[in-house]
Amino acid sequence: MKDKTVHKKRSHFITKDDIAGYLFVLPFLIGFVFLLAKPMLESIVYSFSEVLFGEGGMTVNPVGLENYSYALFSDADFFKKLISSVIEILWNIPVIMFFSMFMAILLNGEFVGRLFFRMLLFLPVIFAVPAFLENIEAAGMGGRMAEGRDSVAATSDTLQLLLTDLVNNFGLPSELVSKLQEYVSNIFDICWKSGIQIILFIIGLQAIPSYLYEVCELEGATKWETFWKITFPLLSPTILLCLIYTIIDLFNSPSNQVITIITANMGQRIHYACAQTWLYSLAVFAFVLIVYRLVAKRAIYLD
Amino acid sequence: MELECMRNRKNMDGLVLKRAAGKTGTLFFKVFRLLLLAGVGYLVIYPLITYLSIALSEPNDLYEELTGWMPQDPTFLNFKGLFGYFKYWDHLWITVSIAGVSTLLTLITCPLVGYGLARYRFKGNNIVFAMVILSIIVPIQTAQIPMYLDYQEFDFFGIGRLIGLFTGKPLTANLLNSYWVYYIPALFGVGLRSGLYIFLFRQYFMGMPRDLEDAGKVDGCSKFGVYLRIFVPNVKPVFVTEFLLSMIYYWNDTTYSRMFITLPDRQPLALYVETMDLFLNMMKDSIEAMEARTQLFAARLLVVLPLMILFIVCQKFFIESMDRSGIKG
Repeated sequence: MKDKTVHKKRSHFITKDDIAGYLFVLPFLIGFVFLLAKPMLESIVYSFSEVLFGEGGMTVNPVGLENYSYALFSDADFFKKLISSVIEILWNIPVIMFFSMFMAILLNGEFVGRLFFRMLLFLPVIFAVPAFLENIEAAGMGGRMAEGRDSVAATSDTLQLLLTDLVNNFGLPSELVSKLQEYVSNIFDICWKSGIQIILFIIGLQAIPSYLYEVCELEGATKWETFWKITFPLLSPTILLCLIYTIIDLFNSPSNQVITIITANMGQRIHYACAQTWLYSLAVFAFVLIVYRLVAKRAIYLD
Repeated sequence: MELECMRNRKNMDGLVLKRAAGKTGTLFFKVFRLLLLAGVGYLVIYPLITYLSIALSEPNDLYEELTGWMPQDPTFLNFKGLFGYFKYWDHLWITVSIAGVSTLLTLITCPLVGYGLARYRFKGNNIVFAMVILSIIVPIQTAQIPMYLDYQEFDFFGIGRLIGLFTGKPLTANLLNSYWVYYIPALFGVGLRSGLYIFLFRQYFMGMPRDLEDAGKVDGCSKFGVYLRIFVPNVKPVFVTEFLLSMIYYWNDTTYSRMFITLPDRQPLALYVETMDLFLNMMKDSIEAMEARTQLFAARLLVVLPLMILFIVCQKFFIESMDRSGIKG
């Protein structure tokens, strides 16, 4: 992580600035150590043992790596869902990022009704209760519900036909097209998952000093050039933020397949659910770390 | 001098030409933008309309093939039936206090921690940052049972146990079913998604020029004064965003509440309604269940309605502050 905000040379002594820094993060450290770390460590212990509930309360018998080896090698369902959800998320991240940045740039311009559309696109954030959507999906009971869904489906069907045409006429690789078709049918989900990112991008866009754009106009740069030379680089801290947010949000949403399995297992086989979660969390953490390293290096902070 | 004039002239001509060429392009762009926004808006508003329509229908209406977007004769029957057993106002007040207090607490802690991470390069900065990320990555369900046990005998960060060493009786409190299970983590930066807000503040504090810090020092501000007087006022939109996001997460949360709030009377709105939903799924096909199903849609609307009002009240400030954010050249 290269920070350009702090130019101080590192020394072996703890300086006054260091102490101030520690004081600022102290509340979090207390919270992390006392409220989170302890339960987390205990759950790691559980993951290496067998937890049984008897009349005398809870007994914890160590069993070594059994839970982990079972999750990785014997439980076909878990591993399959883990892989499929990772793949799905990997495909969704760029789409959500692109969509939200695009929408933010649109909504950042001056036009009539901007306020209205900004509000509209924030609505999914308010309703982002998965249950809210699931209910609609689950209640495919009435004729009317089905009809309403059909009208959304019909729109995407037309698009799908168009895409199939594209394959036939232009010889695009069919794998790419099937992925595109999936996106089209998922457009609803993508809209509903991008609300916060759009807001973050708008704030990021607004933070770019306007004089830079004035200079660009004076120099005769096209909009395209201005975007790549000014907007995109200066948006990089926001891109990093949105990227990490999107990853965590997708991996941790209660409707995620793996999270559903874990929650279900929590009821009876806590030790196994703990092992699953730690495997999962480690994978997500590694992924976030890689993305962070890759993007943070390139992030530009106006200093 | 003359040369400069010529050059300026040339530039001006170029601009005029470019504008003329851009005119049809702009019109095309405008139409495209409107269509796109309308399309996306439709996708967003569609579930909401469906909800409203179902909430206003009689149970029988749902199976009527002929009904269009809205029921032919909308009724408030569902709402009336719902209010018969659902103490909406009590649960609403609980939710408001949980979400409101916790959010205010996160608004104190998260910017502070974010600022420390962004502006001070102390030893272990990266480690603390990794801890922040870890705190949002690990699903809270993992630590469910240890946390439950901790809150059952909450010892105030070990102080209670320490007192116990001297008096023989450890000082602990049972915080289950109390709202301290929300407030304490929120105050210490480990509340619902607190790590995310810390990250959010860190990113925006990092993007601010160093001159600001120096200006504060010249004016004789203390380190905390620089933070409070100079940096905080400059990230107001981030504060408003954080306020809204945090309100929404606490409001809609059921995962965390289900772990610690077991008494139905003390449950926040979202959890209460979800319990109703689960209950309904158990009695699936009975006639009562059919009736309750439409009531559930009404209930879910009632859960998010206050949030919508909050958003409408806040939006002016929210969107205006978005426009004024950052340090303009």
